[in-house]
Amino acid sequence: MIFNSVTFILFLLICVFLYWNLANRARIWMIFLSGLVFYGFWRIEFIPVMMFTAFTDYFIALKIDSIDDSKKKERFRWLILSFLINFGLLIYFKYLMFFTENVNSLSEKIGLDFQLPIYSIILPLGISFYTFESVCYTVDVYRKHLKPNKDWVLYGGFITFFPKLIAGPILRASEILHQIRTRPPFNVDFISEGLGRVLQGLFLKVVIADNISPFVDEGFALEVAKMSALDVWTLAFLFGFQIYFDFAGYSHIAIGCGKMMGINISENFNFPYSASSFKDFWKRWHISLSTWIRDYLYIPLMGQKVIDKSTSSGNILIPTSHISKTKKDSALFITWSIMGLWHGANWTFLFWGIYHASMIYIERLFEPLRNKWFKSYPGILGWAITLPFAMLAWIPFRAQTLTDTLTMYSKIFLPGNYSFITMRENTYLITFTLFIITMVTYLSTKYIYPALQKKAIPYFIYNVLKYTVIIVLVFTFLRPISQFIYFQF
Amino acid sequence: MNNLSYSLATALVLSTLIVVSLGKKKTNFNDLALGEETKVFFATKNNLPIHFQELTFIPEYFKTISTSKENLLCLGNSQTHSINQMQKGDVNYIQLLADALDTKLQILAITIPNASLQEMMLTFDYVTSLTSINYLIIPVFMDDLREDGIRTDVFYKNLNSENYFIKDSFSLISKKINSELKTAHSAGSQNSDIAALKETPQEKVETFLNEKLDNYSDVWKDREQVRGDFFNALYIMRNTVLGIDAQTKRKMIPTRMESNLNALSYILDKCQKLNIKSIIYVPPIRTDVEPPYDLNEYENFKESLEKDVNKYSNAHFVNLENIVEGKYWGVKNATTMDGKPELDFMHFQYEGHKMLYKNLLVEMQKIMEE
Repeated sequence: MIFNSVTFILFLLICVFLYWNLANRARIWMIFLSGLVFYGFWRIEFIPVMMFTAFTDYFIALKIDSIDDSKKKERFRWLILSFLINFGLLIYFKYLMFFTENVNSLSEKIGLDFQLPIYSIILPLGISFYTFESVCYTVDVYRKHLKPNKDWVLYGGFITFFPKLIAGPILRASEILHQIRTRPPFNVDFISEGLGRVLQGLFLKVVIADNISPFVDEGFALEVAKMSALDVWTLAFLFGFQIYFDFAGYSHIAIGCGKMMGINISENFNFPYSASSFKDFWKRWHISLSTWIRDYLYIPLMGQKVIDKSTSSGNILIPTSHISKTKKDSALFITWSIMGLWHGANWTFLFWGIYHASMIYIERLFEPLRNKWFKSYPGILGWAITLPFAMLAWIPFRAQTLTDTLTMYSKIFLPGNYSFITMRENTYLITFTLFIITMVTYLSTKYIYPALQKKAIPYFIYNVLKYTVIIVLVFTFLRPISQFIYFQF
Repeated sequence: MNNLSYSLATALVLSTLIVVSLGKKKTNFNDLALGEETKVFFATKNNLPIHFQELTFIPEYFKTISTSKENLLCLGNSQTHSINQMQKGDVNYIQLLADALDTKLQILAITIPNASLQEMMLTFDYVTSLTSINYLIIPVFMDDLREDGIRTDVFYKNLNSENYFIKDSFSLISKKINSELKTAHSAGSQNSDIAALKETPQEKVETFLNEKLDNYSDVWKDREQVRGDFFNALYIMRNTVLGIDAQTKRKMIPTRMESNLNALSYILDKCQKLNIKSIIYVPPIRTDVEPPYDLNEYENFKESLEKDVNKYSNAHFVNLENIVEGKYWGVKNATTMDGKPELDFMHFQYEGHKMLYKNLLVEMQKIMEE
């Protein structure tokens, strides 16, 4: 089911009503089943895939917990089985076509008369998200950070909890199971706070992201060879804003839906375009994914042991021992390559991952110099350097091919490409306006909003004006004309 | 209850009042684009339409015409189907040409507001796939060279069929247009408002709920109108802030101009191949004030257009930019917040249509006698 639809609004109202009115066991059943209904509104035939993933980990986690600590190998074997099943499904649905196409292309290039059959495989919606949630549950049980849950309906509810089912935030069992198990006493503020977030999310999606989309589509449909440098920069920024408003919009709605049921879902964004470094950017963008990758991939790849129960909201783990530079760097590049491919089976996504790894690597190289020369390293300088590079990183995310990406990048280095434009003036104007609005929103949220919150009447007036505008515009623009961008991942 | 709860409740009441009041205002976007002074006119013959704004009616048109007469295809934009300060009995130049040439040939006119040459190419290609055309008239507006691609969401939104793809897909411009049409074609759904739900169980539920809401609430039904008003308000705000009006000079966008001229070359190549005689003309523009173009660019445009057209033996270039005197033009609605009417550079009065008709008739007679 798509959030930006009348069907979803009706569905949400029914779920929230039932959640606060059903008895405890029936309420847990409702969460589990509502997730299936929510998913089934996209395609019913893929529900068994999701259930298979979920219950494989449910049983494996119980099995791992039942094995004595002394039988480390046996515990590990069960963990590997969970990996094989989960990632096997992910590879089949997401990467098999990419693999066969590339093998066939390579075979053709080297003149072999060998072609693998290509099957058209539909990617189950949200598979990358629920697989990560399910796997991390088993890993947490294996690491003894979590006791396995014996109630399969409750566990099913954790996996199918509809607000975050399709595109996150990627939640961990430790932060959500207890919230589903025990309902807090009803408070009307849950509803108002949740509704506020849902409205903000819908506003970002249907009013902003969906209206930027035609300009982005038109720009990226241009012949790449004829683009100017200004076009490349503009499209990088414009798509950067589109994907941010689209995904942040989704996360707001997810968090809001959770809140309406008294369930706290971790924040997924924190003004990423105000980041003063790439490292900072990844503490602000898709926080639940970056922390997941850090805790379940990057740290183990460095040979480190995760000693704390980390959460998807971004708590930092301290390394347990010295790590060699080579290990650290190779872990960085491997992690980011996987992170890139997690987004999609295409060379452009792999390139995107390596781009981010390279940026973080360069930042690390210059860190001693920076600490020496700019002791009070001004955030604004870091922001001024980081923002354009972060925006340029979106080009492989949206371009059709790696060749298009590289051609677009090549444009920005030639001064002659700055003397003309190829798109309508409105595209540049809209991009500039969005940039100003984003920055003003960030600065006012940081410096004005906290003071405003302390004054009851001005805060009331501010909220009335804000939500009146939001409700009018959401009402006017609400229609499922496009999916959320992250649905394709 | 906290502060936010009270704020939201108040906002809900206020927004309901605003939404209801917005729904009551009915804007005619056709009038808004043309201006209150300008009205549309579509030519007819024996009470049957011969002048269209959409391609979907064309197959039906061919059922009504004679197969023995020669065919003249006239393409254009809103200049063709609009008459400024229209009086009773006023007609456009298509009607005048159709009446004058009635005994010798039959006219089909397809004129689309702001049509780029790429859209004219698609139209021409489609029409020539249905019947044989003997003559073709195309105005080339400097203004419309700034447009690019096919507006699949506007004029072509109902053309969900491969019939409209460019047949000779060997040229780059054909590939470009077909690629745009394919994208629109694969998006598919006739109802683009629920495009994201294509072929999902939610599609049926969403359609059902929307139909119910449409039936029970005029406010919901009129949301498209409100969206249009919203974008119009943004457009006026942009113009006011940046000081843009009808007289502001519009710079040419080189790649777009190139794509459009490639489309014209495609049309002329095909005319040569199918032995279609064509008139390509620079359309009238008001001469009592400076045009909203960079004058150097305008001169270059006319020169290069003439050079391109003259490459073809059966194509005739005519410059008709000065034939309609300043007094036969008019004004259009304000596009800024000050509300002052602005000069209309596109639509002239009936007298202008008569002048254009006379000039085109002379050119038509020349090529018919060749």
